[in-house]
Order: sequence, then structure tokens, then C-alpha cells
Amino acid sequence: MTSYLESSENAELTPVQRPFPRSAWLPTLQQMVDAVQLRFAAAPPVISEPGDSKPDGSEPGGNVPDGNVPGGNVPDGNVPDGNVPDGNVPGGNVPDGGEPALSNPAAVVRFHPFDLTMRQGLGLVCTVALLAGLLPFIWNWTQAASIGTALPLAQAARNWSSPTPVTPNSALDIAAETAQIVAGLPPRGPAGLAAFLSALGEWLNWPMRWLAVWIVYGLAVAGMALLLGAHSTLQHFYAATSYAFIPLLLGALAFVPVLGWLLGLAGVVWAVVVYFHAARTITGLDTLRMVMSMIAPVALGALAMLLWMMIVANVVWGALL
Amino acid sequence: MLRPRIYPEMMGKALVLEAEPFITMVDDDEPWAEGLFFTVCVGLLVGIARVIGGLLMTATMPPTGVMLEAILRGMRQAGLLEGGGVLSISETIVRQDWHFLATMLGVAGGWLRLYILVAAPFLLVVQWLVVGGVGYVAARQMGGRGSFSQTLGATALVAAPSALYVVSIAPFASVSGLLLFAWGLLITYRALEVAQDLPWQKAAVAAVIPLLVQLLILLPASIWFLRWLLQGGAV
Repeated sequence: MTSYLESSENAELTPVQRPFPRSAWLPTLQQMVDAVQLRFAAAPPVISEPGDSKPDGSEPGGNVPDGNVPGGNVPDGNVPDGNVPDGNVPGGNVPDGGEPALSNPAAVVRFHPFDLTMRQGLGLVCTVALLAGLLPFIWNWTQAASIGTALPLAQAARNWSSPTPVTPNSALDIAAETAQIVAGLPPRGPAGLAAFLSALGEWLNWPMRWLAVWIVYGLAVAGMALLLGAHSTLQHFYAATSYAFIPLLLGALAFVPVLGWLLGLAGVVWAVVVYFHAARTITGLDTLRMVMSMIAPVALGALAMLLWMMIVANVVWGALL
Repeated sequence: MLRPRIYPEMMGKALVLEAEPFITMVDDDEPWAEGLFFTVCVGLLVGIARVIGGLLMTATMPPTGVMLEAILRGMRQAGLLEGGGVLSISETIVRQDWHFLATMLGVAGGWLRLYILVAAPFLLVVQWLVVGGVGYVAARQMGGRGSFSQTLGATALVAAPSALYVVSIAPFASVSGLLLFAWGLLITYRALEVAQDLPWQKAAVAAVIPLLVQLLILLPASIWFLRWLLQGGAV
């Protein structure tokens, strides 16, 4: 494992201790890399000045074997190693409740992945979703602009087009023909503007959808985990699980035939693995309980959806017959 | 004292469940008035975004009447209109529902699209009163110590997730109702925990009760609405 502090040998020391500049809305790149590599249970960072080198490469302040949570439980969502108040960086040189201070402006601090606030988690989910949606946005925009209509109409026309009709005048063929006709109708405004605005709207849906998964599924998993004996706070839970959305960046290539689909699937699997490891470490639950916490909401959600669809189908059937 | 300048910051902090905005609301000299103003402000913001979004969506779509005619022709060919098959529906009903839904989405044109400017604040205030009122009764039963006014002040922040509707300024951008529901539940939990000084377990139970009440109102209402649409109620 690597150290949590890397410093420049040639850096010029300054006499004034300065807090490490870090975005209030995003984790550091190093935290993200550590998280997607599942290094959640690594030793916490200790800030040292140049000269405090670790020649043997051992973790600063750390004797935690990779992948194991010390003591099994992580009370109150703190970083493994015990007594870290509210997400602060453990270690000696960290001001109370604030960022670690540096006397060396060129030093690079590596924060523990769990040294993260829910605000940073929120920023991470939204930023990654917007990045993932950027290529599809451009793709959608060009596709809609080439037809000269709004994106949903262009998509309907593309999805319903059938090069070889199975049966002439079947309901499917009629639906396809209708979709083509509607997509061919000119919009009220300029066609280019219609294509751009509708693609923009679809792009903004990416963070909205990901936020929905993060908040709704997270609430269900956290609730189930609490019932099974977890101790973490909601804020810490949400912050930790936000890393799971980074692998979904692979879904940005979903529009590429075959390869995009495979990459998207790989991203989803990776995201589930990151979610599982982050949630298990932050809650301190064992593997079986964590699996149960993650599966039960999906099963209950599917059941509730099935029930709702049956009710809706019953209402529709009753009204039409 | 009304302090709309700090509302954006309060919304941001409430969304990430920080205690500060809830304490600010509870310690206000008139928590319920601050809460009411906050909720109305969020509602107006949502309403303005929806009106602009409706205008932009109108510009991006073909005329609704022409689209309806094309769809009706397809339905006629497929035998989905009255007399055509087993699962058929009256053309009159389709026309009425189409105009009703177009109005609701703000793409129908005319002054009627401005209804959302009144509807959004009104619906948010109703939601706030249900959450605040039911949450207060439930929390008091659990041993809470906060006043009704303080509870109303803190639970006004339940409107914060609705600010996400600002994205609907772009056509076809939408926000999941389930997201707003779940985030609202989290904020209700935090509000009751702070305003009523409850331990987290009791605050969680007290927060779920207003949610159940909302579900009991919304589920039958949505089934009734669907039946009303299918039976041509939108005359």
C-alpha cells in the first residue's frame, strides 16, 4: 500500500502553517482513486513534513491490514482506527475540525476516502453524472439536429422504425408509422434550438436520476443496515457510498454499439462492488448482513412496483372494458 | 424576522442534513412565519422555472393539435378508438385528456399555463402543513419538547428538495417524485430530531408517520385521477 503523504523533496518550506486547499464540494482525485480501488480500510492519513519519510514504505500511523476494519466495527461512521470526530482527518497535525495544515506548500496530502462530507458526496454524484452524460448529450444533440426535431420525438422515430415489417398493418407497424409522422412534424421554434434544448434537458436528467438512486436506494439500505446493527450516521453513509457512482462513468459510452453495452455493464458491476465495500466498511456490518441490506430494498421495491402495476392495470382494464 | 438572503445557503445545508439550518429556523423569533415565507419562496421559484420550461417546451415541439391528429389517425388504423376492438377508447376522451395533460405540462399555450405559479406554492404549503402538523403530534407522543411553531419552522425545510425542479426550466428535464419523497423524509427526520430534541430512533419513527399519511392521501388520489382521465373526466 502507498503512503498517505507524498511530499516534494525540493519544496520550499514556509514558516506559516496553511490549511490544505480542498474543495468543499468534491473529494480529492486521490480519494476517488483509492475508493474505486476499494482501499477503504487503509490506514488513515498522518500529515508529516518533509523529512518524516517512511523508508520501509509502511503506512503512517497505520498497522491495519489491507481490507480489514480494525475491531470489526466502525462506530458513528468514523474512519477505521477508531476515534475520529465527524469526518476529520485523524493524525497529529490536523487543526480541530478543519483541514490538515501544511508548512510545505508543495506537499501533497492524501486523504482517506472516508474523510468526506455529504456535501462533497453530493457534488461528486452530480459532477460524475454530468460528465457521464456529456458524450451522450453531444450524440443526442447531433442525432436530433439531423432529423430536425426534439430529442424524444427523434428517439421515438428511431426506436419504432422497423426495416422489415413482420406483418403489414399490424399494430406495431402502425405505431412505427405514427412515430415517424410525428417526428417529421416541424417544431414551433427553430429546429436546431429544439434539438439543443431537448438534448440539454435529457443531459440534466442524468444527475437527477443518479441522485434518485443515491438518495432513495441509500435510504433503504441505510435503514436496513441500521435494523441489522449498523452504527454509522446517514451523512457518513451517503458520503461513503457516493464513490460508487464513479465507475458508472463507463456508461457514458453506452451509445457505442456492443462495446458501449459491455462497458456499461462492467461499470454497473464495479459500482455495486464499490458500494458494497464502502457501505460495509462505514457501517461495520459483516458481509452477510451487508448483502442482505443491499438486496432486501431491491426485492421490496420490485414487490411494491409489481403491486402498483397490478392496481394500475386493474383500473385501466376496468375503465376500457 | 424574514431572511430570504440566507435561504439558498439554508437549502444547501438542509439537503446534506446539516443541523445548522434547522437550528436557525427553530431559534427564529417567528418560526412559522419564516417557514411559510420560505415555502412560498421555494414554490414561486419552482413555478417560475416550470412556466419558463413550459414556454421552451412549446417551442421545441410541433403544434399539439397537429400531433394529436397524427396520433388519432394511427389509433384509428390500429382499431384502438371506439368500436374498433376490445381495448378501445372514445375519441372524445382522448381529445379531452390530451388537452388537459398539455395544459398541465404547460405546452397548451394561453394564460392557463400560469396556473403553476399559484399551484406550486399552494401544494408545497399543503405538504408543509401536513408534515409539520402530523410530525408535531407524532413527536410529542414520543416525548418531544419543541413547540408547534418551532416544528413548523424546522419542517419548512422539507420544501428544499423541491428546488431541484429548477432543472425543469430545460424541456424534458424532470425530477423523480420518489427522490423528493425520500429526501423529504430525511429532512423531516432531521427537523424533528432538532426541533423536538428527540433521540434518532424516535425522530425516525416520528418522521415516518407524516410520510404514511401522505401516502394514504396520494395513493387513492392517483388511482382516482387515473380513472377520471380514462373515463373522460377532463371535460
